[in-house]
Amino acid sequence: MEQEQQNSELKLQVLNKIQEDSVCPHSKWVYSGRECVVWTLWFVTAIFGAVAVAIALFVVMQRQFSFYEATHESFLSFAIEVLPYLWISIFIIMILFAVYNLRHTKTGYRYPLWQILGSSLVLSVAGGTLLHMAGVGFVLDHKIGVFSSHYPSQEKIEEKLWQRPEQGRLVGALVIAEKGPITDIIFFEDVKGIRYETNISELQAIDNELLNTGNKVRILGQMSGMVPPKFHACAVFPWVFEYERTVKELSEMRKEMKERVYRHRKDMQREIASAINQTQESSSNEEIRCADIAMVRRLDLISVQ
Amino acid sequence: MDVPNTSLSDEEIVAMTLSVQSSFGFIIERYEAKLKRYISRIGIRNPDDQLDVLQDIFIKAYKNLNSFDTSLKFSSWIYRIAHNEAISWYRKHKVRPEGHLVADGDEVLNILTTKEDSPEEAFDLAVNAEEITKALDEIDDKYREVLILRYFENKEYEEISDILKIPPGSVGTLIYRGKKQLHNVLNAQKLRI
Repeated sequence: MEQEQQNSELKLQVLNKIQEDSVCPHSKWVYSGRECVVWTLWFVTAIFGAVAVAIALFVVMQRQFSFYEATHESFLSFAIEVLPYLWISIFIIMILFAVYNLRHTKTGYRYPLWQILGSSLVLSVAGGTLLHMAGVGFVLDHKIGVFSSHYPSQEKIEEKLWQRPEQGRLVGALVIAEKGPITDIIFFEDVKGIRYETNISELQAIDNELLNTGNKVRILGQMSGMVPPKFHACAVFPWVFEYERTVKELSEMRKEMKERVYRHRKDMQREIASAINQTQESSSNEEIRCADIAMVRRLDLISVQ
Repeated sequence: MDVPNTSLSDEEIVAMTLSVQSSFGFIIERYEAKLKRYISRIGIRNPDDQLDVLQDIFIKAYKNLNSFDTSLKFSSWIYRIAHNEAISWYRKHKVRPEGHLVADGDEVLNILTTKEDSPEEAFDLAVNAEEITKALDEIDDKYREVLILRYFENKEYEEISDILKIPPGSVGTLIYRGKKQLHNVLNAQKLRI
């Protein structure tokens, strides 16, 4: 009896309070709006996750065919330097946000974490792969790089790796060709606008063809003077970031570049041997520098694939 | 408006409450005793505190009536509010929940003898309600909550999942581990005695 009385007291108290305080049920829109916001946030995080995957995929596909022998001691050290940490971090953060959002939907708690995490991962990776296949990874990386001076696009990273004259690498384009009777000299302007008096006597026909297009190229060689800046060119490679190249194109390009440098190395070795046999004290030996540059030595240890 | 509350489902009363405020009284009548017992079991012992918390639960339920998802059972929904309000109360009063079982002999026997979830953990100890209460006080909160809902409130896995907002699979795991921990605590108690 006492319990029943207390019960009805509570009922009265609650109903009175509802009336006195004019308590009203919140509108249905509050809840459907909240649900809508959570799903929208999930959608946005999934899109960002997919974009991060697209750019990361572009970097991985592009970089596995990079001519890393020219810039690094090993593929590992190269990979550590060029991995897209920013996008990998964004991908992880987006996945965590997506999981958080899914768990906060009306029925999200019913699914185990691994299912929510797995579905978010699969969706982002699938979406990212589609975006990558549509060329979004390359375009976004390039556009963001142009838009923001702080964003390390792959093009900027490649420029940074190759614009190191003291290490025998230059990025730029041919400006003036002055062919002399003994040595071939051209003027090559790097991306910083510095003009190098460049000796191209050791270049092969294909290198000269690339140079003469006037397009942006990479040069491998040795710095031979500071004032005025002088460079001894050993090989010329095309720039690879004007447009998105296919995997097949990149693979063939890499194979061709390696074969060229390897062949060049063999030719130079033969020339040196021939010169020693003839016991000539020729000034041309001074010009045969390419066989001795670090990258060519490294290539000598690697069989041509 | 007089409505024979026994003939209507919770969901129908909720729908009615949205147009006739006083219908909410039927909900209070139906759930007051159940929720009072529940919050008492999960640790709110003082009758005044119980009354305050119950009032908060029903006010909150009324305010959020439109968020009630009809794919859930209404009882799960209101138990969830009760659970959350009890947690808020602990936080506000900075106390750890301590169980106070309002259980009859059958309920205690139920938890002791059931082979569900963990056949190897079936209890073979002769214990009484007081010992169970003490042991439940000693196990982790997350296990205590599910054991109380399962064995004292007789809720199904799906309902516990909806009340605690955890996946149904996790409910099974928590019950299994909870019973194991309870078993260990009871064993330790026997040794101490």
